[in-house]
Amino acid sequence: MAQRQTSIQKRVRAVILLASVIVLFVTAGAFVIYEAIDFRAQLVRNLSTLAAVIADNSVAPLAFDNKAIAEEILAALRAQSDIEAAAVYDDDGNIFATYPPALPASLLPSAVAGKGHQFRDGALVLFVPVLQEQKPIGTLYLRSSFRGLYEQLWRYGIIVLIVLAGAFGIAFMLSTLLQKRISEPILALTQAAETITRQSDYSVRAPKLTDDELGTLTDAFNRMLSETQENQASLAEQARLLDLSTDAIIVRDLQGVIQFWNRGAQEVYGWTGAEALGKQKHQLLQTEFTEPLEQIMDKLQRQGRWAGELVQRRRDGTRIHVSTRWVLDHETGTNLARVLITDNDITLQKQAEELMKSEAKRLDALVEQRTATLQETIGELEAFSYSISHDMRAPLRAMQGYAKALLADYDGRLDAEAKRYLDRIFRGANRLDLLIQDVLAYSRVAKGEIDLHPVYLERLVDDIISANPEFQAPLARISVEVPLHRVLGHDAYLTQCVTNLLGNAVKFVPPGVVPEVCIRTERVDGKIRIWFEDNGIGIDPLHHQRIFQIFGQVHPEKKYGGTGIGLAIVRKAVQRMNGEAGVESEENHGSRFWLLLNGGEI
Amino acid sequence: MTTTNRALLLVEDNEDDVFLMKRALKAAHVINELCVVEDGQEALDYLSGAGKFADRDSYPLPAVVFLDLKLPYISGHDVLAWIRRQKNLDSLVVIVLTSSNEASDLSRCYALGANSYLVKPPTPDQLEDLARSFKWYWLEYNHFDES
Repeated sequence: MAQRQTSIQKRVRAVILLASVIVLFVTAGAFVIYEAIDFRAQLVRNLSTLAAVIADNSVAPLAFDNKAIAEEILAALRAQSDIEAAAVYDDDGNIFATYPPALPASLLPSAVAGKGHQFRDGALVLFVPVLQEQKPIGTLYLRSSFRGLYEQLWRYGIIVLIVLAGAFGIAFMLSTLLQKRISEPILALTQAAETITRQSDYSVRAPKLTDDELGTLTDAFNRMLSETQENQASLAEQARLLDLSTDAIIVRDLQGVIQFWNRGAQEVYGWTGAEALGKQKHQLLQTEFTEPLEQIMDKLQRQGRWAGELVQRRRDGTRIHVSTRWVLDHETGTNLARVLITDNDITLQKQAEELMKSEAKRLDALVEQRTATLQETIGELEAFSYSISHDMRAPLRAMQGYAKALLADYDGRLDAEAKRYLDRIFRGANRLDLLIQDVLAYSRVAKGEIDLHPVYLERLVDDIISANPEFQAPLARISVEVPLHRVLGHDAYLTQCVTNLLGNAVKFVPPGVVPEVCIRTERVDGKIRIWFEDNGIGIDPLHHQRIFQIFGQVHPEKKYGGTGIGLAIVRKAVQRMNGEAGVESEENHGSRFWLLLNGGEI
Repeated sequence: MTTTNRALLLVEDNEDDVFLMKRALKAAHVINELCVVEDGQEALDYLSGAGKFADRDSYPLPAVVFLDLKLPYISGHDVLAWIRRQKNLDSLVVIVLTSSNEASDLSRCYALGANSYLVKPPTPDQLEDLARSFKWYWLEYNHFDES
């Protein structure tokens, strides 16, 4: 680039040189012309002066008709090399004397003029009258060649040429220096522009070499570059961001031809940008539309956007589900429109959905099946408890009945031992019947929906005490600290609870002690706690959890009787009434059972 | 006292229960004839006088039926429902005597028109007590439609 002589440099140099040469020529020409004119005028003046002198000197020879002197005078003209010819004419126009003496006729004028000069045949011809006493007595003729002029002009010409050559050389050197001032900033700009074009590198800047208009131009160019670089950077950033997107971002025109294809699209569909650009999108991807394309395009035209799901094919032929969003983009100032498409692969999602659907279906079926099994089990359980209450109790009644009948009917024939055995049979059957009844009571409490409503505890407790002689004096002393708060509960369940708790309280007492039970209520955080405090044998804190479990009896059955289900029924019933049950007790220090239920205040 | 001497019908498939019931009634000095049938179909036949039960001398129409619920062939509920559909048996007193004290059985029997619902007591003494109460209430105080 720098080695090659660029056209701008040539041109600038040519312009400078041309201007210099023209100026030089014009100047030199004017000078030469002036010199030529001045020389002729000077020549006329000099010749006139010379002629005047000679004419003066020729008066006497003419007057005295002395040719020799006249020729002598003329001979003095030898000193003037330019003088080619001179002649003195007498008053009649005849040649009196000539210079040189053998003057060829060709140098003589054809006719003698009175006075004046003229340029004739490449020479100056002068006529001067020879005056004596102001009267003409003859005429002096002088002819001077232009040789001097030519010689001078020639000299001038050489000088001019030398000056021209020197000036040209100087102009050439100056132009070489000067053209740099103009061409270098332009060349720098050109070079920068070429670099940018070739390398697309917008970080290149043209160096500012001058402060003139070219400098301003360079600044403007660099500013433009900066802006372009920023735009380019932001475009690159946007393109990078677009490429970062795992969504496929595609632009296509209304005919479906792909115009933009980001890396996400390559990842989703497998086609590279180079492969996809210019292709028909729906052909390339073998799109399966869920609704006709015309309909979609219609929506797109009317609403400017459309979103849906499509099935398309990857480059390797696999079918993928994509969620797609289309936005119509009208290019500003044109009728052209294109469609910005954002696709993301939801195949996995779809598969997961399908899987979930089928799994949900399977689970539904399983739940249905299990529910059916459970229903069946519940049905069987109900049938079982029904059968317990009906069928299993019948043989017990028979055992009791026949034992009793034996005792009654064969009283005299049975010894004491036989009667004791019969009594054991009777009591065993009795106990089994109690067990069955408790199990049934427990299962009744454990199942079924119940409605809760406020329960008047005082009346409920009174009813229970009056219905059970073992809760009354003299067998027991049960006191109630009135008033008892109302609770939210269920009559039958609460009756069961209170009966069981009182039953335990009067049952588990040391021998010979009259059971004493105090029933009272207290408010605890908006709930009601019902206390049953007894003077019984108490329970080791170790067993406080166990006693509420089914068959969680801790005291020997032989000593106190009971089935071990009573407290389990209490706990279950209280749970069904959204409450809790518990005990505070130590062995030999009585027990304080409690029920915690929601208040039943209206 | 309006003491009735009309027959009683016990519908009961368990022969032990039949034995115990007979014994309890006897202990309670109930002298009314006690007829026994062992399943639901037989109960229907007896009450409608079908087959051998057409002989009302041997098989008199009872004033009271003790009806167990769990019966072979036709359940006690169905027997009760059938009885209440019979115009001529409107005045027949049906006492359900069962070992079930399930609430569902109770409500269903009353809905079907049972006159009373008794749970079989666990001990012979209690059964005897029940028999006495029955005699006293149903046989001595209660008025039957004798038409």
